[in-house]
Amino acid sequence: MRDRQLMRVIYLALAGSGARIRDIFTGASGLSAYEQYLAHLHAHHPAAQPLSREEFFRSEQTARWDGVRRCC
Amino acid sequence: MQKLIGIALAVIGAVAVSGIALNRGEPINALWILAAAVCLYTIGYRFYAAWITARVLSTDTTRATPAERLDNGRDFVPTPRWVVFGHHFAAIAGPGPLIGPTLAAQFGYLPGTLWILTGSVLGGCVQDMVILFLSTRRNGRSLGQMARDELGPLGGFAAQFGTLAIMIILIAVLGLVVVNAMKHSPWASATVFATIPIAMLVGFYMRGIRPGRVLEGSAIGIALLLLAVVGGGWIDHHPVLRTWFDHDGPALAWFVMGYGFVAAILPVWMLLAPRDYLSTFLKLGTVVLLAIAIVVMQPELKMPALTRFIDGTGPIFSGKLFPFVFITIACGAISGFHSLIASGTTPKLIRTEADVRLVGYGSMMLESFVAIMAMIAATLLDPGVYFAINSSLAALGGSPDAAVATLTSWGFPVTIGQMQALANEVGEATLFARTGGAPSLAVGMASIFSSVFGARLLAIWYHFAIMFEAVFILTTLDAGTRVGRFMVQDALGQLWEPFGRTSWYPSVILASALVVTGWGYFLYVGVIDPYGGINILWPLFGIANQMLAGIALAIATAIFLKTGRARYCWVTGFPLAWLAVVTTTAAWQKLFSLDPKIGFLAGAADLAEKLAAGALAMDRAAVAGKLMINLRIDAALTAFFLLVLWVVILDMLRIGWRAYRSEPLTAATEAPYQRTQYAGVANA
Repeated sequence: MRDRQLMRVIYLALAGSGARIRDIFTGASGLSAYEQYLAHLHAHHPAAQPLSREEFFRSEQTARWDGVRRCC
Repeated sequence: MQKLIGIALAVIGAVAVSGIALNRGEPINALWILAAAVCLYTIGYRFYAAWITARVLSTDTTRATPAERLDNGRDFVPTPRWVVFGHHFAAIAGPGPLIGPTLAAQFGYLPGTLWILTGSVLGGCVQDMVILFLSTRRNGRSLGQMARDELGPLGGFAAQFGTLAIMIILIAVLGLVVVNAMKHSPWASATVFATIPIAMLVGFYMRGIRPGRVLEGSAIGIALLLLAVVGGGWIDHHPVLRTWFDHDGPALAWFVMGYGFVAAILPVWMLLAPRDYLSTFLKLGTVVLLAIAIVVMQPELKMPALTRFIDGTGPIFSGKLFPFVFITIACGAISGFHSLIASGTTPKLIRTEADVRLVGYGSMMLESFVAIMAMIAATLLDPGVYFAINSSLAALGGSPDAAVATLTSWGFPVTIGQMQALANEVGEATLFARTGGAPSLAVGMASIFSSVFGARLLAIWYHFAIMFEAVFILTTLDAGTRVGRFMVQDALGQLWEPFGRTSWYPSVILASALVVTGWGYFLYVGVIDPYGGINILWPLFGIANQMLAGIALAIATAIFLKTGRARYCWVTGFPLAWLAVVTTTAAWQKLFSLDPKIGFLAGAADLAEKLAAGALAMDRAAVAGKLMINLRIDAALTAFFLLVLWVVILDMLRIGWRAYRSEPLTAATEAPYQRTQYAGVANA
């Protein structure tokens, strides 16, 4: 019984910070990089032709790994 | 209202900490530790971190960050604060905070827990936040560049060379942890091997089938990984298949070396990047799941607050409580490695200086919390079981029978039957002498998970935990070897230009081979060492990591001294002084202690003497020559780390002295002020 209440509290706490958790996951995995890139291009260089999702992903993936990116 | 909450937290925190400290002689509940941790973090974050950002760093929300000024949509991108938090946490959190506390639990739960809490709140979180801020003010410069700009060429060289050395030791020790977890365990080996084709499959999916769809690819990958855990169990029960995956330590060490070499020269999309996605999702998921499970299970800690091994005679690693608990737990309390991340990619994402506290201080708080959970998972085991898993047989008398007798005589009763029953339950042949921390953590995690999510699945949970740790470790191993490769190529490029071309294959292969040989050597010697190798390599890694933290804190202190903030220089100066004392004492003992179990040189001399007298058993005599050379190399490395640390500290003091005497200093390197264009931010 006590455990069930505890689970409920945990559930509510997690549900209440849903957007935050989504943001953390996004940042951790780099999920929104392409959308950010499009937004940037749109805002700063409206005339430029954006890369497609595929092209962007390819160039980005190589660039992501040229330094210390993971720790102990 | 805020103050009331603060006071309430302080009271709860004080009660919880004193509850932990005073509750001797009877088992304490893990919830006390969690409560103490959460309260201390909250107080540290709300008061200390807020004071540092306001008074010492003087963060300025009207100042445009490099992400805004240099926004290019690629590496410089103004990013929402929780997204940066997730990015930064995923980058700093690796297997370190899981392994260190597990080993340090040999002193009891109290010393490690107190160090994790105070070390992070006053040291590690401060270091991460301050370096992140200083790098943000300098257009995202790296630690090495800042060392050169602020201290001089000598400091810069020391920081760069120290980074390469720590990388080599880190990869070697992590490789050893994986090898020890897979040794003669078909289930663990099959599961860990399966992670490689799974990562490549995800890589092909994200590259060729559905390009850029990271979430889909990762979801498929995670499902396959879970399947691999179950499939490993099936292989383990198959009479023929299981022999394919049953290997001894040296064979697995060669496999790990070959894997590291291949991973360093393959294109990133094939192995590295997809594995990183998988490990990130696993990491976040498991951390959350573990926290929930501990809160629900509310386990009692069976380990005493302090054990007899604070006198330095511990079977897992030798050395007294001071300084070795502070060396063993580096990640989770203070980790120099983090300063490389805090001065690399993260500062280029910070949207406003107001976010520095959450990203720098907050991420490290979460990492420290992971270390606390690892400590709980280690100390809820029966102490006898914990020591039987984590000590080498050589340290406990040579055989399982002798080991249980020794442990029982020390007051940690355990029986062969108990160990065998546990091994059967988790689906392993034996749990004796599974050094490295991974198996014991896996047993702890499995018992937490299975008590909350289904008791029948202990074996599945155990191998899930092993797979989870292995995925972490192999990610660091891939990425570290690759970074080492770039560093070596950079250095070789100064000798002969073509070596510097990062995609010229002869250079790629030569540099990768050099790096793999570097860590492979330490890994191999660790594997053949009858004492398990961890007892030598982990302290070496701890010393290296604390040395790097010392360099980072010295740079920050030098900047405070140069920019007229000398009265606040204790904020980084105090943790620096503590690290200098701890690291110097530990390094000194590792070099010059006459106890062959502690001192590297004494250990080598002792082996030579016993070898000459014919007092070594056949199997030990066969490897004694290699061990002796290795101990001397370890001694040389320790001396080098110590030297680097003091060169940087003295360089910092020289700058402080010049600032005090008002003598000319190298110019400040902060990027000039520019007002932010973000509406609302400036007034917020």
